[in-house]
Amino acid sequence: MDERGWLEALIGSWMKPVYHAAPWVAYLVPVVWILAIVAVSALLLVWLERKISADIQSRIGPLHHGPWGLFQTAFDALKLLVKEDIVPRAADRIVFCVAPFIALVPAVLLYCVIPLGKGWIAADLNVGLFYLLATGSLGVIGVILAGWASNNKWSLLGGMRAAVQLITYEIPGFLSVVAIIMMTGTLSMTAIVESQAGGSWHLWPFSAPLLKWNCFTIPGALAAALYLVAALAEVNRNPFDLPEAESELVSGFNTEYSGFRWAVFFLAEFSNTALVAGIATTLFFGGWSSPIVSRGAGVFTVLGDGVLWYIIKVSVLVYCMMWIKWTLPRVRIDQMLQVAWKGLIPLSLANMAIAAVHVALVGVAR
Amino acid sequence: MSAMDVIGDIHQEEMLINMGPQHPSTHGVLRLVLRMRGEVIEESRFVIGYLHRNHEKISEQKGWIRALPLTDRVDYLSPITCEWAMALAAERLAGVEVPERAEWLRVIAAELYRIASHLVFAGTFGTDLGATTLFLYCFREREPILDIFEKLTGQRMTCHYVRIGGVGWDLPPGLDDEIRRVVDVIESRLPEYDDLFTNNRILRARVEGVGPVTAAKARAFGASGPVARASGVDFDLRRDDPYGVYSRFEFDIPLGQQGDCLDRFTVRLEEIRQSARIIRQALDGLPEGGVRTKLPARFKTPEGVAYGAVEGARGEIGYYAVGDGSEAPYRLKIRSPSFSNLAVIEDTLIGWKIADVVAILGSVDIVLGDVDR
Amino acid sequence: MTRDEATGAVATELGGTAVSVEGGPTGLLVRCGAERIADVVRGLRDGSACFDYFTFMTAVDYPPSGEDAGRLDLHYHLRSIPNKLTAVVVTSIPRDGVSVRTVSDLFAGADWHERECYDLFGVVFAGHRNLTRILLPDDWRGHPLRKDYRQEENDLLYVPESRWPEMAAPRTPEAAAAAQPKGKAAQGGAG
Repeated sequence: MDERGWLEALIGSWMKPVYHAAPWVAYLVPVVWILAIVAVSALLLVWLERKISADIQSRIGPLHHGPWGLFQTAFDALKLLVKEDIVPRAADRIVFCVAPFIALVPAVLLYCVIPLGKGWIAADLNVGLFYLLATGSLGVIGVILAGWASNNKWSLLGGMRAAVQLITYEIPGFLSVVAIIMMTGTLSMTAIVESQAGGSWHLWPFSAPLLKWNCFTIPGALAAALYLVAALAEVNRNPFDLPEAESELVSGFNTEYSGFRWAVFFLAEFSNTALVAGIATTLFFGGWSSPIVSRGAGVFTVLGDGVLWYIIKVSVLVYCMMWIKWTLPRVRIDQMLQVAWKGLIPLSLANMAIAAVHVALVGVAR
Repeated sequence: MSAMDVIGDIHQEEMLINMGPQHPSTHGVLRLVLRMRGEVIEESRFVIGYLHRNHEKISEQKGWIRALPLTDRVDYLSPITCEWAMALAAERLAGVEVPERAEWLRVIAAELYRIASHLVFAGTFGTDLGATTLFLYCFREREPILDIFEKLTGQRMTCHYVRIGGVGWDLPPGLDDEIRRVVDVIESRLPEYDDLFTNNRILRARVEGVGPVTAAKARAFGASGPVARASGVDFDLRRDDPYGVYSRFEFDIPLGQQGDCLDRFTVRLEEIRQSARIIRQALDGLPEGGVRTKLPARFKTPEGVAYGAVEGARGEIGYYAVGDGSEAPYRLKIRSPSFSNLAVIEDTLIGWKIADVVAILGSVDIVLGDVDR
Repeated sequence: MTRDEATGAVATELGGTAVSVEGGPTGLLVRCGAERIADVVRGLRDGSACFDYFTFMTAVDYPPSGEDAGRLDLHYHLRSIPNKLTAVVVTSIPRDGVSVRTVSDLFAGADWHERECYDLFGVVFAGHRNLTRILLPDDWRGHPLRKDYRQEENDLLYVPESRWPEMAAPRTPEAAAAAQPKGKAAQGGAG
C-alpha cells in the first residue's frame, strides 16, 4: 500500500462521516494542506538557512530553543507578530499594507500544482505547467508595489531593480521549461513526473528509474542549469539579491516594512525558494520518483517512489542555493542584465532547438 | 533643466538621495548627498563632522599625558599608530629618548594592529559587495589579535599602549610565542581568501576598473597609505621617512598600477603578509632592557614645533605640535589619513552606479573617527 | 637631492618672493608674507625640488596680549615624494578682517583643509570654490580652536528653551486643562 493509502486508512475512517454530513469539507482539506505546507516549509527553511550559513561561516547558529534551535523561527515569528505596526505617514497606506500579501499569494497558489508524491497534488490540472508559469509572474507585482508605496527613495530603487530583474529573468526561466514541454509533450505536472518514473534497467527486485530523469538528457541538463540560475534571480537570492541588497539600499523594497508585514515578505521569499526547488525537482529531477527502486518488494518499498524522495531532492537543491548565497558576492545591475540577455536567453533559445533535435531522434517521452 | 528629462522615448528622472549618516555601508556616520539619474551618480557631496569631538582642543586643555589615551579614539581600528604619532611629536619636541626594547615593542604592536585593521577592511569590503562570509572569516582571524592585546594591555581596542618615552608594559611571558602562532595562522589563511574572493569572477567584475584614482590626483590630495600606493605613488613613511627602528627591518611595499578598487584590496592583503614578516623579524631580534623612560612628574614640552608622522593602516597619521613650555601642547594638529583619502574620491564617484559607490567607499577604508577627529 | 641642496635650490628659485628659507631639523622651513603664499606654494611645487604632495594645512592662534596685536600663523606642510623631503611654509595674518588667497587651485587637497581652517579658526580664503563649514553644523557660532572661543554661545543654541520656545513658555491653568487628553480611555492609557 503506498503512502496515500496509508493516509486514507488513517484519516478516512473517521473523516468519512464528516464528508457524508458536509461534502464541502472535502474542498477545505487541500486548502489547509497547502497552507500548512507553505508555513512549515518556510519555518524549516529559515532554520535551515541559519544553520547552513552558520556552518559555512564557522559559527553555530540558533541553539537554545528546541533541539538544534528548531523552534527559533517560531519564536521569531511570534515576536514579529507583537511588534508595533508602523506605516510611514506619507506612504500609500492601502498599497503598503496589501503589497506583502500580493507577494505571498503566488507562492501559495503555485504549491497547488506541485505533485509531492504519487497522487499527492492539490489540483491536478492538465495545463499545470502553463498555470505555473503564468501565476509565478504575479509575485513581481507585490515587490514593485512595496517599493513604490513606501514613499522612500531607497525602496523605490529596490522596487525598480526588482521590476527589471524579475521580469528579465522570467524569460530564460520560461524558455528552459519549454524544452521540457517539447520533450514530454504535455503540460500536466503529474504526467511530467510519471514520464520520468519507471524503470530503465532491471535487476530484480530493483528497476532504477534514474536515467529516465530529464536532467540526464542533453536538453534537459542544459534546461535544468538555466532554470536554476533563473530561479535564483526570481527569488531574489544572492548573487541576484539586488532588490534587497542590504549593504547598498539599506533594505531595498523592504526598508519601511517592520513587524508582521516584513515577516510576510520573508515568508514569501522562503516559500518561493522551496517552491522553485520543488518545480526544478518536478521538471528535471524526477519529482517523487526514486533513483533506487521504483518497483520493489517488501522492505524495499520505503526506498521507492514517494514524498520522501521529493523532500530529499528539494533539500539538496535548497542546500545548494543556500551554499551559493553565502559564498558568492552580489552582481551589479548591469552585469546581471548582461548575464540574462547575452548569456541565458540565447542559451535557452538554443536549448529549444536542441530539444527539437532530441525529440526528432528519441521521440516524445511518455 | 527640469528634473524630467526625455531622451528619445525613455523618460529618466533625477533623484536627490541621501545616503547616511545611518547606512549599513558608509562605515560610520558619513553622509553622502547624491544626485542620481536612474542608478548613475551625477553629482556627489560628502557631509562629514558627525563624529567631530575636537580632539585638538581637548589636547590643549588636558595636556599631553591626559590626552594621550584619547588618541586611541581617533583611528580606533589602528589605535597603536595614533598613539605612536602623538608620542613621537611629544618626544621630538621635548627631546625624550626611547629605550631600544620599547621601540621594537612599538613595531610589533603597530604591525599586529595593522593586520587587524586590514582584516576588518577585507571583511567589511566583502559585506558591502554581498559576500558576507568573508566578514566572518576575517573577524575569526582578528579575534586572536585582540586577545593578545587584552593580555598585553588589558584592553582589546583602545589600548593606550604607547606612552611618551616608551610603551606601557613589557610583554608578559609566553606572549611572544602566542604572537608567532597567531601570525602564522593568519598568513596561512590568506590563500583561502584569494581563492574565494580575489579570484572570484563576480567580485572581479564588481571591483576591477571601478573608481580609478591616478597617481597625480593622489599626490595633489595628499592621499596616503594603501590608497596612494594602489595608485602607484611609491611612498611609505616606514621606508622613506623612517621613525623608530623600521630601518632595521626588511619588508616590501606592495604597489598597484591602476588605483581601482581591486588594487586597493590586493595591496592591503599583501600588506598583511609584509606585516607578518616584520613581526617575525621583530620578535626574533627583540633586545633586552627597559620599556619606558621615566618622565618628570609634570611633563612639559619646551617651545618649538615638531611633526610626528607614522604610517598607520590607513596612511600617514601625523601630529603637528607647537609647544609653549607647559604641560599641554599650545596647538596640536592631527593630520588624519582618512580626511585626505576621503576628499580624493568625492568626484571619483561621478559616472558610477550606486552599487559602485559602495564598492569605492569601502575600498578607501575610512574610519570616521579619523576623518572627523 | 639632499636637504641642503633643496634648501639652496628653493632659496634661489623663490628668490624675491619668499622671506626666508631654512633647512629645519627634518626638512625645509619657508617663511613668507601672506600676500605671496600662492606664489611660494606654486614655486615649491613646480620647482626643481618638486614638492608635489600636499600633506596638510593648519593654523595656530596667538591672541592679543599686552602690546602684541595677536596673529594667526598658517602652516602648509608639503612633501617631495621623489626626493623624500618635507617643507613647511609658515605665514602670518592678522586675526580678523584679512583674507588669504586660496591654494586649492594649486593643490586639490587644500580644498578641505582650508574649509576646516575656516570652520575652526575663521580664516577666510579668497577664491575658494565652497568656503563653508565642514566639521561643525552650519549654524554654529564662533570658531572653536581660537583661544578666545566661548562654548556658552553654542550651548545656548541647543538647549530646549532656545530651540523650542513654545514648549518653555509658562502655561495658564486654562491652557494646561485644554492640553489634557480627553476621555477616560486616554487617561487610563497614559497611566
